[in-house]
Amino acid sequence: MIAHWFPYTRLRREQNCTRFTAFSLALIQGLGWIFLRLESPSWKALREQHRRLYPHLAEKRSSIGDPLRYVVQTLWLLLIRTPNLDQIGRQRFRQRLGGYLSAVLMIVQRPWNLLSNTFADLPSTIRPQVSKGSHWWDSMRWPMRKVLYIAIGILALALIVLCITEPFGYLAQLVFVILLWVLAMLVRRMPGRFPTLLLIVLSIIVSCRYLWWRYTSTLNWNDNLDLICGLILLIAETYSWLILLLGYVQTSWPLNRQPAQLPADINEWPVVDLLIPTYNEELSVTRGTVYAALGIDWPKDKLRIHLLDDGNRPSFKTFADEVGINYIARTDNRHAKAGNLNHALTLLDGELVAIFDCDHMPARSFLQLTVGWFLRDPTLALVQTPHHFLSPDPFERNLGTFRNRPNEGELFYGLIQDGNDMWNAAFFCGSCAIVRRTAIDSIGGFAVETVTEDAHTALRLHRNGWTSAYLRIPQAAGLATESLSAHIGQRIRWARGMVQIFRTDNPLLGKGLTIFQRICYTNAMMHFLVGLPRLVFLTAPLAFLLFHAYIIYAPAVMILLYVLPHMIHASLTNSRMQGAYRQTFWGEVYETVLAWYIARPTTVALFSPSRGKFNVTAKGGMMEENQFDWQTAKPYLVLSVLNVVGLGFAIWRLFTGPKDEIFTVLVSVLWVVYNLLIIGAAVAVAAEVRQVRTTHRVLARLPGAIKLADGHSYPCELVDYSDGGVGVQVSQALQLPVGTQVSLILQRGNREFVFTGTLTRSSERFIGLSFAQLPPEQKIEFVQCTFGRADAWLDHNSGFEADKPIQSLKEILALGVKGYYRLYEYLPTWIRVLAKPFLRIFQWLGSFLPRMPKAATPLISRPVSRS
Amino acid sequence: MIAMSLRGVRGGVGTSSILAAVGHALHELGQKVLLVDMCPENSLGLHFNMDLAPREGWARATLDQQPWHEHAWSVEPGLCVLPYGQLQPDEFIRLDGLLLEQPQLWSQRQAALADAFDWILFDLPQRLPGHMANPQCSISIMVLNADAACHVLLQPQLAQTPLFLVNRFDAASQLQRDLLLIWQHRYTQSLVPVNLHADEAMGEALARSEPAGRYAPTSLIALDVISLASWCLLRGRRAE
Amino acid sequence: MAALPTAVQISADVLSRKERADDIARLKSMMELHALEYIDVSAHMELLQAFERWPLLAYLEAHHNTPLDLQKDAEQTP
Repeated sequence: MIAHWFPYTRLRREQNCTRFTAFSLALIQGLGWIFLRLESPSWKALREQHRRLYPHLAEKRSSIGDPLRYVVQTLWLLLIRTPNLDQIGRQRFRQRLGGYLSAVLMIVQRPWNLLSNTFADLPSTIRPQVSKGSHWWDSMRWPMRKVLYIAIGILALALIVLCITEPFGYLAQLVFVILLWVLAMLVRRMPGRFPTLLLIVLSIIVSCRYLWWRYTSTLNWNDNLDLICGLILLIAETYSWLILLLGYVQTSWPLNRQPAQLPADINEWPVVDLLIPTYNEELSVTRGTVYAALGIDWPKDKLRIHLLDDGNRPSFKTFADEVGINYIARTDNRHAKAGNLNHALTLLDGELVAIFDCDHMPARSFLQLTVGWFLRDPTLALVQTPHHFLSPDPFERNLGTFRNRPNEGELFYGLIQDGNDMWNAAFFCGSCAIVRRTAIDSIGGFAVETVTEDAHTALRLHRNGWTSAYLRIPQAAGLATESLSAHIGQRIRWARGMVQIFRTDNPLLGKGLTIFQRICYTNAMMHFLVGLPRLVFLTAPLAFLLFHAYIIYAPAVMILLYVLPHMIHASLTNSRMQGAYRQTFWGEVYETVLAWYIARPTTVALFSPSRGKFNVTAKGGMMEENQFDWQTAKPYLVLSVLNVVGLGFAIWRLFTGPKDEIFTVLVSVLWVVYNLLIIGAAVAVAAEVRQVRTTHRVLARLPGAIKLADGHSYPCELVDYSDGGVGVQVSQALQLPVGTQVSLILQRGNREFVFTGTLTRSSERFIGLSFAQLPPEQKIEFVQCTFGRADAWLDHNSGFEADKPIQSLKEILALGVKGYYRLYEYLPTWIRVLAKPFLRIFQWLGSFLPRMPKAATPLISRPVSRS
Repeated sequence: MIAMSLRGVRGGVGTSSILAAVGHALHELGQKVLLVDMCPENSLGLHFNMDLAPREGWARATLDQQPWHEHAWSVEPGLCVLPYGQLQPDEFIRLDGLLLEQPQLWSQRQAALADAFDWILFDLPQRLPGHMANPQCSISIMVLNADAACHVLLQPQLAQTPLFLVNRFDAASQLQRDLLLIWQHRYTQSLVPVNLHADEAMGEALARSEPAGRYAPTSLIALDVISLASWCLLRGRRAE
Repeated sequence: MAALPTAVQISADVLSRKERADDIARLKSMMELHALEYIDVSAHMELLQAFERWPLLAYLEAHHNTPLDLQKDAEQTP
């Protein structure tokens, strides 16, 4: 359209514009041709890039707003997102602009880089001095050293107390927090564990200072409403502060335990009873676990596999007889899983007891990696390994983060258990673990008093002087809960159980625990009390906006000066400690989703611990179509409506309220918007995405080969597998009809196995094979070649992106917006009809927003360097 | 220059086809390769579209006391085949005696070829001790099929067999899997860690007068042969 | 020995296939358990069954070799 001088008729006919629009646009274009020499080569080159640089305008029908859109996009391109405009002669301009900017930045950047590089190299630079110093220190006499230790300790403590309690004015506080922040930013780049400890100390100082300030100078004792709301918020903040501190202690020094070597003489290996408790799970889920268990590399006469069927189902008994494992059922099912295990123990006499939930398939190396520690340490009662999930949990499925972000459990199994292990407080998680029989017998079997028998059993073991170990090598994989409601149900059970233990067998009290074990257990249990505090944070700004209660009775600037450093330091420190296991701000989303649901049961359990029963987590089903879980999302919807109302009040207060409150209102608005977006992310989780298949495909990259009936064989790459089939990639398209018999050759170590299946899918170089008809002994081999491989789950985190707090925040906020959009999609029609005009307005406004230019298709490769 | 020889534990295990394929694969990996047919049957050349019974060859030339190296054929730049030549049965028995008398004959020739080639591969015959013993090779491989007969034949030869290689392996066969497992455990050091799989493409390649890697580059056997060639490169580098 | 880059790549590809097939070797390298001695029990079981299945193999085994020793024969990875 641009190539025409005065395209009035074209606009009228082809684009169906009104007379006025067509005339104005044509006029603008005509003026352009007259004054800008649009026929010149540089303009021409720009016109050729039109589709790329103005992607939102290329396909659009022309309208009267387009000139403004072009202006906005052009400014955006020139000033902010300068694309690769070399060919259009813009390079010099960009360079000059960039030159100015970087010159300005350099003034700050250069000394900063210098400083931070110095810090990054500091450990290696000062190593000689440090070692000399430590020699000197070692050569000192003990009483002298003791005195010095005490003196340094007292001095440090005095300084810390001073830092925490000294009241500052605006300027002093500003300087103080900037100094600490700069220190943190410098230390952050240093490798090693000592800088982490330093970051922890900084974070603790800043957070303690914040809390001290909150307690001493932000409560309004003269107004009852202010005081009550303020106290509620303060209690919630104190809870978070406590969890933060306990968390630091718990995870400051992950142990990273290595497996212990077994004796070379196989006869010294202990006898293991492998228990697979089941209650109402399907046989198809259990089969894989049994096959995988049969494939564990352990002498056959020393590994006994038992299927503990609490459901008393004949099909399970038949299956157990078929594959030759022991079947144990009981007449009642008192005390659920713990009762089931205890009943089985009465019939068994192995030295060790391995426990796998019926959907957790062990790898073949599981026992050889875990048992060694039992032989090395006679007081060891328990070795726990991570629970790895081969299917996406509801968060991963509904937010599309499977395999590219650490999931909810990653933090616990990646870091917290490893941190617990340092303090001999790694605890039992019900599955993928192995316990010593004598230890379990000494505490009278698995604990049956609470609904989380696993943690309670571990607590009892620790109380009785037994030790535990955690081995962070994923040696089993299972299915994640398939729906959000089931996921929440499971967490409710955990939360209730942990709080029950907290009440009935409080780890802070009683005999037999070290102080650190008490801290680790307390944190694990306190952690589940997060519901109420989270709800308080999600509604706190409303107290001011709706009821005009000064929940933090201080000037808004002062609040920012105190609260921002507290949050930034906590994020920086946690990002460094947990970044690989949980990305910053994702914890907020997880907590927000659970908050409402665990708030009530934990509170009830806190006051009456005997209530609450065991409920089994449903797994392995499928979601037949996309749906919105209204029932589950209800609390978030209420919360978001409340916050929207708060926004309305904020606007009202901005216009009618006193001038000196404007800044406070703005801060509250920021808080409300943040809350709204976090709630939006929770809403996004409730929009359940359809699950396409009943069996879950595991992505892999395993070498293999296929053999056709005519004797030709081709190498292939196994790209995914499930318990019923595989997908392979061949290097050349084979054009095989569906239904062809194809043999797959798989390798494991030096050995090769052949599985004959039917071709179900063939496109280009991809071939899908179904192994529904494999004979039982082949099924065992198949599981051993796939799910049971020793390395099957080791690189599950290879797709994770590195944690960047700012980036993470952006993502979470974008997720929040997406959540509301998904919600809109699922709304009843009449609401959508009503909402449509408003949405139109937003869309229309949004159409003016600049876009990212499309990636250029490089036809000519640019020279990399010029000689 | 690395000399390597292949010999079947018995006839018909597929030695010549492997030699042709490995020679081709080494050449693909950037090596200059000479393949020497030590068998009076003259079958090696067939894999490179040469005559079934070339009159001339190194054996003929040696007997006639003519320059032997003029009879090598260049298949591609850097890939040459030296045929055996037409000999009557009494002639090759006479040549065998000659080779026994002059045990240094081929090692002198190898030394002369050292600059021209990175690899010299010998296809050794079954029952001609002079032919079998004459080339001095740093890698000598015996080719087996995974069957009971080969297992029986292997036992007395173990002492003088540094390496052996399994050809036409079919993992679907219980017996073959079992034999391979026994060999892997029994002879961990001497079993070449690459198994050549049974693949129709190998037989078809000869019928097309091509080495397997050129006839069916995407087949499993082509990949196996490349693996074998890569293993040879590593092993050869260690031997040098 | 000059090898073309493509040749290097081919070799690397082949080697990577081989490495990825060996789960125990990969477990050791990824988890840095270089000292771990792993016994492939299932392979040993299969080996014992092989001699039961094929009397000739068992006969030759008895005549030519010392009996296989489970412990000594810990899986070897090159």
